[in-house]
Amino acid sequence: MILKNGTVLMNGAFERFDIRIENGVISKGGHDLSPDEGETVIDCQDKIISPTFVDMHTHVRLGQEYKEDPQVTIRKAIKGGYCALNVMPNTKPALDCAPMVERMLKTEAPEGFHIFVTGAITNENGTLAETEDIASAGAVAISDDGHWTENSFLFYQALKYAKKHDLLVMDHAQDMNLFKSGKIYEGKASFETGLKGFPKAAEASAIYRDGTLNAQVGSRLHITHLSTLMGLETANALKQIGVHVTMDVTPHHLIFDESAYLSYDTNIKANPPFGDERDRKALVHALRSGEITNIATDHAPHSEPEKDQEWEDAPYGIASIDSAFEVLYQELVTTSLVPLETLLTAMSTNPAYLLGMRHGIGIGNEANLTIIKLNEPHAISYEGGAKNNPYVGKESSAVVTMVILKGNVAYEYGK
Amino acid sequence: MAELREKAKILDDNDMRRAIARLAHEILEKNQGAQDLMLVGIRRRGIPLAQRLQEEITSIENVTVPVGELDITLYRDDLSMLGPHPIVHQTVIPKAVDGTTVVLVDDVIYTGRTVRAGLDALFDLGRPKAVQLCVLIDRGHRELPIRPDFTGKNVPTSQKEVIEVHVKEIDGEDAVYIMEKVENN
Amino acid sequence: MPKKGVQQMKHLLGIEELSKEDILYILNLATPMKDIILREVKKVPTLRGKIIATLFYEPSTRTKNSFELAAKLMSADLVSVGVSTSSVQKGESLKDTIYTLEAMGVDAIVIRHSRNGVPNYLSSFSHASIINAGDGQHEHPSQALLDLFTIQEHKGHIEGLKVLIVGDIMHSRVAKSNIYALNKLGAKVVVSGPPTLIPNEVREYAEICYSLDEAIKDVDVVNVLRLQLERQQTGLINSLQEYHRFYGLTSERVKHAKNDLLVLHPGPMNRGVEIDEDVAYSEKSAINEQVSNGVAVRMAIYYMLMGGKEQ
Repeated sequence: MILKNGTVLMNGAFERFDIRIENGVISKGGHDLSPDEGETVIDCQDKIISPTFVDMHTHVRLGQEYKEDPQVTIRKAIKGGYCALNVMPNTKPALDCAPMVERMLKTEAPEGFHIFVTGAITNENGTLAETEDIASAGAVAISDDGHWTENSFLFYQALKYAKKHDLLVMDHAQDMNLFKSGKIYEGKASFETGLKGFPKAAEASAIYRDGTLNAQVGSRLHITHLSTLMGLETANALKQIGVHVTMDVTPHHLIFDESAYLSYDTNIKANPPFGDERDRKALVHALRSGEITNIATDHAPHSEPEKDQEWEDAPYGIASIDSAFEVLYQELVTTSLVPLETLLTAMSTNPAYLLGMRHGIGIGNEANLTIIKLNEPHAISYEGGAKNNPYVGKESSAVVTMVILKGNVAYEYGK
Repeated sequence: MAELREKAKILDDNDMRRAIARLAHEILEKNQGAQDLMLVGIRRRGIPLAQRLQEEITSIENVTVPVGELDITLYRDDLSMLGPHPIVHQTVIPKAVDGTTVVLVDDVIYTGRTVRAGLDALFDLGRPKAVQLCVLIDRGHRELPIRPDFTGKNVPTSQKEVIEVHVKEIDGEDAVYIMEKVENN
Repeated sequence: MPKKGVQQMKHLLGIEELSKEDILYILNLATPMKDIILREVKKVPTLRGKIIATLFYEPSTRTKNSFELAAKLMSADLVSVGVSTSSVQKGESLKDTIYTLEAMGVDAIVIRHSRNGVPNYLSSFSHASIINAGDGQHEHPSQALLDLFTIQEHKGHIEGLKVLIVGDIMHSRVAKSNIYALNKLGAKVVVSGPPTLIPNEVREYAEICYSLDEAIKDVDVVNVLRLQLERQQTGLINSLQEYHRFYGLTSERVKHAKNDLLVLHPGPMNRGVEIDEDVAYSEKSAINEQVSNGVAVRMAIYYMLMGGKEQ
């Protein structure tokens, strides 16, 4: 197969060349590659070719299929341009032991689609899960996502196990005593809606504890779904003193601020909550500057009855893996806030790197490619499964036209 | 959209003054004086008319009869057919209506529904000895068994026509017009 | 004749979305409504044939009775859903409850709920008018309107007045609705209370004066909020005695206020905590008047939403 005349993202920059794919891997790159007899040629004139996206924070509803069947999640991910998910441990039962990790890893998926598993840090008894077993079973990360690991002592031990097995420690950094006192961050929106507010310091103080603990361990600490300026500054300060800290941010924290709460729309109810305009701008700026290297969807599907009720009773979560790129392109790239190269890199090779996945456009790499057409205005459509996607119906001028997984066309726009 | 166009002026200020003077005489004649009499104007233009009747009665009998103001909005039977929010004003009755002869005063009688609402409103305020009805213009087309006791002028109209009573206190002039609905294209 | 600037409204969700004209319109309507309460025959036929349901998910005596009495005085029929006895106890969803009421032909639903934004949520699908009788810590519009009506009766106007609100501003929907309404009508608002119960964001609408002794000096009206006694358990106030010493409206404090100070309280009162008995029953207090004004204002609300509505 030859992809002709595409604009290819390689090492963070665009370059125009043809790509040959043989036996599922990228075998050649160059100008004016001529097809062999019978070789498929895909015309990529005026199109962007990016390494497929990798979502390092996905809630796959194993055991809670009524929210969204895992197969639907995978199909939506591919439609969104993804070739890999990192599954958070809050499945039913939770991914807090080796057999559950193994079961999750066996999830059926098209060839070239990768399921990564994040095991739990603590189990339901409040003690450490069998971290070494979990690692041996194939988990690449550990996390208590949805909650912070409140017990400092246990988290300290978890960092040590993670270091031994080179696990990524994904930190839902949020002081639980403060979080329990509210629903959204204290601010104008909490005042106006009456929704109880908790201080934004809940994030920064948790990052500070975990970062300083990691200063003594040297594990790979990763702050997921960063939401505040204070949290960002705290993480940056920790980096300054040599602590290993990486960060990701979700599409919704880059797009919404607290004013979105005034509508009481349960489909934009997410945890961590949205900060104010200053927080949002700081996150966008940090993505542009490279302080934040990753975008993770925190895809969290919920059923319609769960979301169609009183705001405070509806569960937290936004499910947007199928439209994350399209909406981010519209909100950040067409507005010149973030260059397209930065956005694509933060969605593809950067998260792949943290998950230990060899990825990117290079000879010998698995041919996982997302082809994008710009200047194709369309309304973002509903792709089945959970409906808590606040972007459905919004305009975007970029569209994923094709996804190639291990050399096969796994998705084609309009087909 | 229908628009109103003036068709004829039926009363000018002198005509109106004379009509009110006559009505005052008729009221006094029928009630054999001003004893226990109260004039109650139906908002809006019934109120200035009631005040003028009061002045006429004072000049004839040298007594001042009380004048009340009745707002009937809350008693209407056509509220949900009207446009948004007719304004409700205060009803002001200077003394108890019990035992008095109330003369309800309004500018125009048409279907009789306003008077029906006025009677309901009045009876929620107390128990008058008698109620009489005085109107400046009776234009016909009654839908209820209601008949004025005192009428300034009978004006036969078609249902396409509208009677507009103007009073100085509200409209800057005393006059009565007959208006015609004209369809706009 | 439609009044200029007044919106044709279907629901009353909060003060925040009302214009100054809307608020004045309701206040003006309340005067003739109050006349009805004060006369011998306390009833008008205006809402004959309409059905109003009250759906209270939180205990309330005063607001519920007030809304129900107002409905009766306007000749509407009433469905009073007792939440403890209805299928709500059986886990019926709020949405289903509303659909059930609609199927009964209910024209307006008066709702009180502990969850913020419930009236907004219901208005997104309900065909009946939704009237917010208090939602969580969000808004309590009818209470603010009756407070303003009471102020207007006593002071003749709202604009230019200085109004002090004392107590738990953070958790009080009454405070919030009052603050919005007073701002829209051009009054100056001062809030006082413990620092743990005054959110920073109130600065956009009001001056903060933590010392009640200072704040009371030059205000025209003081609205004393009810203290939810459970605030003590959550660490927001230290003790009721301390609260009373610092934020209780005592006769000693009232002595330092203007002579014509007007005292309001939304009830029910914790006497000896946020207000002293001799202040509550002094000639400066309009606390009982607030109750009858509440009925008048709620009649005005019904009239506005249902009286002259285009079908």
